[in-house]
Amino acid sequence: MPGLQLFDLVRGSNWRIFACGWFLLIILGLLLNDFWINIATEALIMSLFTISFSLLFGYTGLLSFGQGAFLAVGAYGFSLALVRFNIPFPLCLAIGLAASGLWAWITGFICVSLRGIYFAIMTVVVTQSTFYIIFQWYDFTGGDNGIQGIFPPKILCTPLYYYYFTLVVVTGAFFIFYRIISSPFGLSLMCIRENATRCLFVGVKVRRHIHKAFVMSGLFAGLAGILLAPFTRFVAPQMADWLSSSNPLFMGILGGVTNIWGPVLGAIAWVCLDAFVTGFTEHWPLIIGVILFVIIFFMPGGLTGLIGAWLKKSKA
Amino acid sequence: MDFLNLVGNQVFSGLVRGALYFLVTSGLSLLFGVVGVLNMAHFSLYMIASYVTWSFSNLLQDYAFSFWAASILSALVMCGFAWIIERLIIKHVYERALPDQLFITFAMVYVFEDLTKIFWGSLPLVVKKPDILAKSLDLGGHSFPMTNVFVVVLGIAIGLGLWVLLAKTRIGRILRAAYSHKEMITALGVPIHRVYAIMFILSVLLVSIAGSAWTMMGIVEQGQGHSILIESFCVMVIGGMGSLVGTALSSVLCGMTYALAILFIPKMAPPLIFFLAGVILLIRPWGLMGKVGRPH
Repeated sequence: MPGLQLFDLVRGSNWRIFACGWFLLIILGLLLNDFWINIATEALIMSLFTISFSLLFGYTGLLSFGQGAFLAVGAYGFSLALVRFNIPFPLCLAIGLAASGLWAWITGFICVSLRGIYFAIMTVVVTQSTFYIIFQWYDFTGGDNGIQGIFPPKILCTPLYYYYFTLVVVTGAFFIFYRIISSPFGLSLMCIRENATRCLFVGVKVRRHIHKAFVMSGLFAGLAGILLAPFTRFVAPQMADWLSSSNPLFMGILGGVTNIWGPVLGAIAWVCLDAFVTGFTEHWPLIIGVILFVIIFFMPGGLTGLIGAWLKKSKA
Repeated sequence: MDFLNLVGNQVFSGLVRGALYFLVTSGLSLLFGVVGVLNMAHFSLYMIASYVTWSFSNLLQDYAFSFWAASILSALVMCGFAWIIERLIIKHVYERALPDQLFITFAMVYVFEDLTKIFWGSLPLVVKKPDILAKSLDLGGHSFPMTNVFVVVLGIAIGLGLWVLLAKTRIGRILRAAYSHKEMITALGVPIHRVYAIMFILSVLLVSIAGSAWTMMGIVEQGQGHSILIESFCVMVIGGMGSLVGTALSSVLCGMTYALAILFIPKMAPPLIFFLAGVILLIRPWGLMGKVGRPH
């Protein structure tokens, strides 16, 4: 697997793509109606969720089926602070983030010593346990009822302003993600992905690196959860179950996990497709399944892989 | 005395649960051990088997033996179905990396679940019980529903049958060799992909029996496989992937844990199995009876 050069669709073009994309997203906010604004907001949040999956799977080589746990913990931490304790909004963001980070740190101790299929199963165990803890802790979390009526401050209540708020937060997170994977730390993560044993010999502290990556990915997922809660005005324990955790997996594969633009592109494609397909048929799962088959068998790099190959061909 | 009665009943219900776990998990675990593919769609096949059983028993509802005939027919149909999937999809999965295998079988989950919704609708269905299973068995003042007794007996019978198959027959020896010495038996000229195909069909046969048995215990519905999926993974991890004895042991262990936990700490009962699996993964990742240091 190639490492660094996959960052760029075209070498050195990341900043141009970034600037164009950001400009486009700002303009889009002014052009679209409320329905499509909400879709765009969801796409942004989901791309953040997918980034958390991609950091673990695409860059560290650990297949996680448990990102939903941190999504839910972030969302619950935020919502409980906001609704139950009436803590001011910005502080709630910090509390949600801290909660998801802490939970990732604790569960990380259990997960990071495992590899391959065992890691995947352990993350399923973690996410289901989280689901049950939220589900059974009725007095605190509201159990099956979830928490309703999560309103952001008045100014963010309109879809358009919330969209811009999400855009700013997601952009910030994306920038951090970019810095992480292009740092020496990110390089050693990729080194672990390629060959963990050799990494150990070179002197990389494999376990500690994986644990750090795990916490970071938990923080990204938690941030996605925090943004999701006031967006849907509602959180439920189902955010933590394994079906919710499989969503970023699909989006990641759709976009391509080893490319920095993959999660964003995958999430946008996924959410738009969802909105488009559910408009005329209820058989969305069937379509997902078939798309997944096609991607795995015929276009292993996902959408970004396809675009990359096409660009290379048109250049040659 | 009353308390002892209660505990006795719970022990029996633990056995029932354990038998069901074993029926569902044994195929999955053996498939992983022999072929190295973790089939996420196993549980969708479980649900489809229940639906197929319902269809046949509905077709034959005028006859007394409808359920038994339906079970056998559905097992045959499922084996045929398994053969087709094996040729179309699973065949291409063997040599791929682990994440790809998971993604492909995961895609199958979505396709299968939606197809069952198209064929059978989303309403829950009930299979008519044969007369003998509608009664209950009286033993020393206890009364056990026959369906539960049936599932336990079935679990034990299938377990013994599998053991005989693996330990005493030629194909069993090949399957065990494929589990432990893959290169060697390939070198000896055993067509390994055919062994894989047989193992896949065997696993579907097992899960189809489980699906038919389930129709006697509860309703057939969408998402039926999801409720047992995670627990079944835990059972597999605890027992050791690919180990028949380990799976049997951990099925009973998990069933008992659940049933007794319901009695004493009801709120903690469902996650207790997860915690158990978590602990096992930490101290013995290869499970109770699994092979130490397996590369998967």
